[in-house]
Amino acid sequence: MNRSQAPLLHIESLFATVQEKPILKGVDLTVGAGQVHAIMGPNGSGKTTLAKVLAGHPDYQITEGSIRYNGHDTSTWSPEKCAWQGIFLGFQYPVAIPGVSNAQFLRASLNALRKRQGQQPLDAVDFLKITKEKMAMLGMAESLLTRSVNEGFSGGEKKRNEILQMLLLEPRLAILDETDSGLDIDALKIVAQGVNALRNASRSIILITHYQRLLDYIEPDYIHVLSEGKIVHSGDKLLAQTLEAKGYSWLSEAQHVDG
Amino acid sequence: MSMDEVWKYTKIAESNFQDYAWANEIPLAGEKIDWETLYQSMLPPNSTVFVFENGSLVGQSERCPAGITLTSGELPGDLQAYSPSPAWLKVCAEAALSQQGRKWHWIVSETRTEPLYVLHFYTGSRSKQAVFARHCVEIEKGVSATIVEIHGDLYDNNLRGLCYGQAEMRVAVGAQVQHHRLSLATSGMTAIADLNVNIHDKAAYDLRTISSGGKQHRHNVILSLIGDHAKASVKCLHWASHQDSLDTHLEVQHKANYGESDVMIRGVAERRGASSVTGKIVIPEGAAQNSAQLENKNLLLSREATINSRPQLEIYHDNIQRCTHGATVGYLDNEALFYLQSRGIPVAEAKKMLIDSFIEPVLSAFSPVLVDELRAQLLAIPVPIVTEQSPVSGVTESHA
Repeated sequence: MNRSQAPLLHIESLFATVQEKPILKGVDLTVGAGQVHAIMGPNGSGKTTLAKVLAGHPDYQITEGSIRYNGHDTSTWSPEKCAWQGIFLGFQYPVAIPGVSNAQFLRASLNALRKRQGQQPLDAVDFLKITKEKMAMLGMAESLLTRSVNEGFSGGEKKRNEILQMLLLEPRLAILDETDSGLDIDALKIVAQGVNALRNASRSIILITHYQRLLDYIEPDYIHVLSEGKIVHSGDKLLAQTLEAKGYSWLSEAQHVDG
Repeated sequence: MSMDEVWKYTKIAESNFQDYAWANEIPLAGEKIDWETLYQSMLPPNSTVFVFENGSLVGQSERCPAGITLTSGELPGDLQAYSPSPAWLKVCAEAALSQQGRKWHWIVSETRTEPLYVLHFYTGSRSKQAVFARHCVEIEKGVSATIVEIHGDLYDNNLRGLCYGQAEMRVAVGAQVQHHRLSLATSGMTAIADLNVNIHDKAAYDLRTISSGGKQHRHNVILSLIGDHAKASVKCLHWASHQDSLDTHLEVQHKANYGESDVMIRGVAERRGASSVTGKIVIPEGAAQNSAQLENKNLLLSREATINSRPQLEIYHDNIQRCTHGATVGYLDNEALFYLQSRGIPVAEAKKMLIDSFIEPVLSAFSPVLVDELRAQLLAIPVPIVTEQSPVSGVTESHA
């Protein structure tokens, strides 16, 4: 793991609102190239908001602070520009799109990125060859290609479909929002294998999760606790075990004692 | 429903039709059109096709194939319009009295694998001309057939015209019919179409319709399931753009036992377009064990567009299997849009994908030959498309 390079992502004192309601209240986070960071925290602490802000969701407004990704200010980037620049968000609740086949969606997505990278679009044959290889890695049925995007998919199928998209798009920064929720142990292992297969020295991953078990399979370099819109504690992978045993309340108690 | 309600969204009284002249002439004015070249460019080779201009037969494939009989006659005085308003009754009466045009009558007596194409074009080079077309298709006992009916006018957008089409379909015992209907009107045209279908015992009738354009574009459709175990299925798309006003009244009457009907209507309104749908299921007393559902979903693409949806049930018999209806009106889903964008798909393309997916259930029922060009035209939307996270309103009711 290369921890000496300039950070791929640097978030400084980030405040953000949705529908004028403040959610993020001063997030600071630095993610180096090749690193895996896990963000944990109670419900409603702002984890998903942080993920959506990083992915350029237009309903989330940055009111203060900055996000620098690969040296660029991303505050005015559209979601597609974020994607073109290598930011990928794995959705907590992947959206179903009836009437658009999964294959059509995946190919449109992949070719949109290839176009921005100055590459020729993939024809149907090449696209299917690549996609089916990655689906096999994730234990996905090929029939999921002809079905509408996420429509009628089980929870596990939706999450595998998210990881499939990540494997196809090969982002530089992958933000996986509760990818482990709704997965049984076997599916969790397969998804973790998919994520680990993508790890390399230049690619960074942010895992948002409630549970330690995901971190048993994808070992993070750092763990952060997000609470009430800001990161209140950071530590190494052992922090997950403490949180699993004690919950989040000890953090505020500890802060209170410290204070 | 009162007469005013029935014609609430088709401003027939304001159109001042008494100034219109009924004239089923070919050509009504202007240049003569090479219909053979036109339909050969539209349809697969060797299609069985009949082309009508202003209600008169102007072209057809070389000969009527075996199993199809075509006859025609002068218009009888039995014209019946759907729930006529006083203004519309006057229009219909004048049309009947004009003695213009003919009634065309097909009898399909053998099962056909290839469609029968019936193309109605309306032409004219000056305003305030009215044309009239009427036909009847009879599908005999046990026969399977596909009928593709296309209505379109070749008017200049600045001209005001009126075309009124009446169609009847008789689906005999055990017959199976796929009926595809495209109705495309220019922006100055008032297009009114009545379709009455009788479906007999164990017969199945599938109606697929696409309507777009028109100053006033009105469809009155009555499907009568008059035999036991009759089935009717409808997939309908409204596309209202510019200042188009589309208004469909569809009524499914379950007059016998064990009938099944399934109606899906998709409406799209962009710019200042208005799409109105009244869908009614009627199960009269004595009609037992019927199953019916009606769904009307609508998509608004601009703040100035209008959607009116009136799903209705009239059930007078207790012993039904199922009867449901529902309607929704909404903008494009912001989260779905964000999902596509977050995968690198540009916003304009993502919006078109979502609109395409909304209309796909209807378009997919048509032959690709017919709809590819239409799809391209509909989705060539140059104006900003409004999105919203939540539906504007939604109604869903069910009875069982």
